[in-house]
Amino acid sequence: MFKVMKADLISVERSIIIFLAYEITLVLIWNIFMVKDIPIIIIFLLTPMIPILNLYTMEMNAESDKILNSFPAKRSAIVAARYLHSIVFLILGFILGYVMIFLSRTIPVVVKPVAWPTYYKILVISLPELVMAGVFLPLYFFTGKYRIPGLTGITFFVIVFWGVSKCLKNLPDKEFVINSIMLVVATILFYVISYFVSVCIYRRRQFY
Amino acid sequence: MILEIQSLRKEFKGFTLQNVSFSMEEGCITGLIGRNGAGKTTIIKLIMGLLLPTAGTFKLFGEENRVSLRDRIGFVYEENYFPETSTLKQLKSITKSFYTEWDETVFQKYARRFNLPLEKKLKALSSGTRKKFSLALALSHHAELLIFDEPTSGLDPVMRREFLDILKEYIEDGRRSVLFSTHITTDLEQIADYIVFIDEGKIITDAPKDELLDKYRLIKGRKEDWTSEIQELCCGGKLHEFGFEALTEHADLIAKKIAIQSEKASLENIMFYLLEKKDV
Repeated sequence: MFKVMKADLISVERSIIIFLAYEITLVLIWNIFMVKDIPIIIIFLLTPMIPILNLYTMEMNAESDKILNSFPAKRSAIVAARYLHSIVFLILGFILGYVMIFLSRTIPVVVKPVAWPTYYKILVISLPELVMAGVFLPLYFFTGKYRIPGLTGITFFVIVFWGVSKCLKNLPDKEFVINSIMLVVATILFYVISYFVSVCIYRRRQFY
Repeated sequence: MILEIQSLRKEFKGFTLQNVSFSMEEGCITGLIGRNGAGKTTIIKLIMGLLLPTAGTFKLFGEENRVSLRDRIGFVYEENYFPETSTLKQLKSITKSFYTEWDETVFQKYARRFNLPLEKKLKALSSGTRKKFSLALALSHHAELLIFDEPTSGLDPVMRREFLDILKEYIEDGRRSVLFSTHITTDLEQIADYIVFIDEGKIITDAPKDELLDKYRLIKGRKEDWTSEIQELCCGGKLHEFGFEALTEHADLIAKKIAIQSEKASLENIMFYLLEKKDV
């Protein structure tokens, strides 16, 4: 599994650089030009998608999955790597977001100080992202294409994003905690089920 | 046996690979020949696990096929499936991480021998250089079985000759084998020990190369001698303006009946006339 992850990371090395550049540019635009209307949430929202989408685009164009499946790598390991690196990129996005916020608060001369994101905002972003990956990946493994699975994933992202924000907004503390825990558990469960569905699909996949 | 295929069947819309069986011994080069769409690549994809068989089984290294056995297989496909935006160095790093027996010294040796520009991206390279790179990868992890799908297409004659020499060196220790699908039958005449000839998903003939080359003769005779009796003794033939040319297993018998010129048939001739006979 880690071999596949390494292979994926090497393949998208360039887009990780783009991802970092995007992150920095966004913060600079946001702070230097004092664009107040762009919420910090966008950093968490968009950045992890770049290398991930780039990986699947590249894989589809080059049909490099034929090579990957010719290596001594189990199909379940290939699927697991893709599920795991969706999480890795999500975490990476968060870490970079936090670094940027930290910088904005320690160097206030260069950038305008930014507030730390709330637990609510973190959930509102990370849960829909996992649902999106959980919808995208089985469809991608089934079709070998990324456009329709990508659009379906984004649609689910929007629905879940809207649902989670509605579900958690303006709740008293106790209810907020209970609801958020339930949502986290449901999302993890969905993600795990999605993984097993993907493994079943990918084991039957043929590369013509 | 390094590879044993038994009654392998794969059904597609409009094409069926039908009960293919053959085996490969250690220390030999097996050539898989046949025209386009005959089923050569399908066999290779089935062995590599890219396609799932409808029926039949195969054993690798005497064991039931499983993913981990691919650690002992080196492969080169006809087309490039590596991402074009990656450099050769990156692609080497990816490949290296999957093989337990990866030998960096061997890879560097082939990289120098083939003049591979490791810092360049794949998209900047010619198809020949890409093929050389794939060969270098396949040869660098001490694979016991090399599976090549049209490995010499895109290579210049000098490199083709060098490649064939490398393969001969590779199997010298008697433990390694090569399965080699190609249209360029002259390559196989130089190095193959065994020929599997396939057409429309069926094995037409499966024999040691020398036996096959000894079995058939290419004969030439006068136009008026191309009678139905002679035609029946031939596996296929062509009538030209000045005479006929045919492939036969019974050259001696025909020579007693008519005046002919007889010569050793090449694999290309054997393939051509056997297919012609089959089509008729």
